Amino acid sequence: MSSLLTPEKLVDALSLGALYALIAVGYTMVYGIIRLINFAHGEVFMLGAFWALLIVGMDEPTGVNIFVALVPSMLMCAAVGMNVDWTTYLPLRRRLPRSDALSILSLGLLGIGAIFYKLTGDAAHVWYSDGAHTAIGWGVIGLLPIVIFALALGEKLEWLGRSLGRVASDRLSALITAIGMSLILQTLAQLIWGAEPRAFPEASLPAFLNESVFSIFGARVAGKELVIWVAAIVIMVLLQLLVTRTKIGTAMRACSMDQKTAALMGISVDSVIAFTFVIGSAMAAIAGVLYAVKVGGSISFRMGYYQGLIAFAAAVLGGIGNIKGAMLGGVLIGFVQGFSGGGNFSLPFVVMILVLLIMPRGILGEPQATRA
Amino acid sequence: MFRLSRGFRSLLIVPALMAAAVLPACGGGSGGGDTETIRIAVCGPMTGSAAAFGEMIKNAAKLKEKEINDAGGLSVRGKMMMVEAVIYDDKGDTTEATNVARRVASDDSITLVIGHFNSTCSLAAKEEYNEVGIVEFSPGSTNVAVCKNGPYTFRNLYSDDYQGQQIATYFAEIIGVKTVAVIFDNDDYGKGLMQSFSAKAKELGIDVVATVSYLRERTQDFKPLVQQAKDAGAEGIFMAGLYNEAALIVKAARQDLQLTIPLFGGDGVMSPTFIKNAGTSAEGVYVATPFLVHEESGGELVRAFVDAYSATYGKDPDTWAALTYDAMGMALDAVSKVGTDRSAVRDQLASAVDAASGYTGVTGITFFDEEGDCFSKPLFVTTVNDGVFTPAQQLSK
Repeated sequence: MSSLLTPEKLVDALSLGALYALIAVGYTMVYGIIRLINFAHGEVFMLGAFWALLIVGMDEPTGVNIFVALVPSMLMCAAVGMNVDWTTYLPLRRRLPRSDALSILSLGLLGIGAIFYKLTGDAAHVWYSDGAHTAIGWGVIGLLPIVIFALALGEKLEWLGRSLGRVASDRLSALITAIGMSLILQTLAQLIWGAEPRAFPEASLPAFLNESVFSIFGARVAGKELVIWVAAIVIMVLLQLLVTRTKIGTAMRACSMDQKTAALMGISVDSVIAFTFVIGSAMAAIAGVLYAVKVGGSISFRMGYYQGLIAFAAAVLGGIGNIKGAMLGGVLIGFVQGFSGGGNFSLPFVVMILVLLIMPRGILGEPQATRA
Repeated sequence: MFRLSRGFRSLLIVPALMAAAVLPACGGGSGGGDTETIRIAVCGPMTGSAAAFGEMIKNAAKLKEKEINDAGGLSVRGKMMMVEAVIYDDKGDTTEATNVARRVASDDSITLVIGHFNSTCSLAAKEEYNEVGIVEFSPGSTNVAVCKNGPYTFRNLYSDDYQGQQIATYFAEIIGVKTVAVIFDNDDYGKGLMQSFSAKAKELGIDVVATVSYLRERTQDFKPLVQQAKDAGAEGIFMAGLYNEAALIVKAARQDLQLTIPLFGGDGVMSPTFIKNAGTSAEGVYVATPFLVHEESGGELVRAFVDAYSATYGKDPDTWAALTYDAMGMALDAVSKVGTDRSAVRDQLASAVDAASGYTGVTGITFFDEEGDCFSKPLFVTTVNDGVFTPAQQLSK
């Protein structure tokens, strides 16, 4: 390629970076507090675009402006995020007796998997055999025996139960549950809205979004790019203020340092966690809508999967758990994507690995062992 | 006394759940094998990213079924038989297409297959059909290799080498550009079309300045791809892919990059969904097609088909509906002459070798060369005008 660095690519990179930063912050905030990679976050991003699409009109335009639709979309996504936490992660956190928690988890996954397979693979003719999804599906199935093994033998074999059970009941089972949740939300979206990508109707998009606003080194900046930049900057500033200057922000930081002590100080840890999901999900909704506006459509059940993974890479790259790191990582990955011409699906992850080789905790990662 | 642990007891629910999931699948399978019914498998992308095509295919096949059954059935060598179009979904995916092919080929009640649609799927399923010996009659696959070395594989439309050549000729003679970029779907259809187009373009003195590929269902942001075409100095862009992606490409070109250069889509773009998704950016885009259902492409058969289709489904048929309707018609014609024996039907179809022995349908006369390829139909060029595909200036021939 003769023109690796062009002003057009800079504009594109800035917009992508802003969007990835918005998503990445959601991953990192949740991780910072409950040490969980919330893989369903990418799906919340996808749902954000879908809710907005429902309001502006999926088949016939309703005439509602996309920015008006953004507000209910954020609310709906906040509700989804909170419910994902309450219905799936909270029971795991509550430390139910190990076998119970695990049996709920494994049975839930298996049952839901079986039901969806039935619904989608056979009768309702909507299963998809996308390679990546299949791989994750098998991954989940592959992890299940470990969980079931721990569950069945945990009580009989003390040593095995202790080693397997501890791993399985804490991080691992939460992680599997998160992947399961991601698949469930994707499949649901596909069942409800079908597999065809859709676009916001033109009637819902104000004209200035596609008009030139100004230019940088001769590269045209459209209204939508500017909206993305401004939205990202404003949201990031507000988030920083929220985390550092408000009571709930202080509570969030306290929970992220030490949940038990925070609880002893009178902080309702579960509410703080729910609030974290709400904020992250609302931001993902904004990113989802703006992303669909930027690329001119592509609203489908698939849209959150890959973008979610990239944003996750951005969060890890910046130092997972660190909000400023996620912002920085998002912008960095946006530049990688923008300047590589967009056609390369593995480059962001290659960059992530390279950075982690030099800085294992990410660029702004906190030193380890803040918790025992 | 033996006592199951609590955890283990709850595990017993697993088989119960699985049984519950499997049981309903066992019912409903009966009812086939009725000797009084001709069963035809109609395989296409009923869901997935090419579902708009699948819907047209399903509707057209069901329309033919209904018309024949309403008239009392099909006369098969003097005996009246009912027709059933059995719909199978390959999701536009090769793995699914192979699965469908296996199911269909091993189901003795099925006489022949109308499908598949995506070239990639027809190619994937071909081996199974030819091994078992059941006709695979595609109303949509245009990849060059589809009919090669498959005595049981037919199609009733042109192939991509012809399509690519015609489009390149159109760029040279009618649009009149010197440099073209190709943005193609990295599957059998897109690649084949890109190759035949590029070869012919070079021959005609057009410089193919960029060939950019994307992955259907993965690539979501097309602006960087169009940017590459723009940076390379293309005076025109050829889109060798399907309608969803083409809609994003024309939006990126017209809105984001403000390109006014001519944009040309292969026949995979020929779907109303393209216009719906692209909105005003679709205006003036050229799209190739084997046939256009339009008042100007007239004829009694076309009008009757359009009326019947829109009366049944409340919307107009498209190219693929017309081709499926014709494929069904031709196949049933063969069955009525030789009965439901799979290889007899194949031989009957293969005997259509010229206009006289061919089948006259909505899309013109269909007959085959020795490979089962159809070269009797010309390529038709349309352009989007006020949100409708309308005939453009045609190549003189």
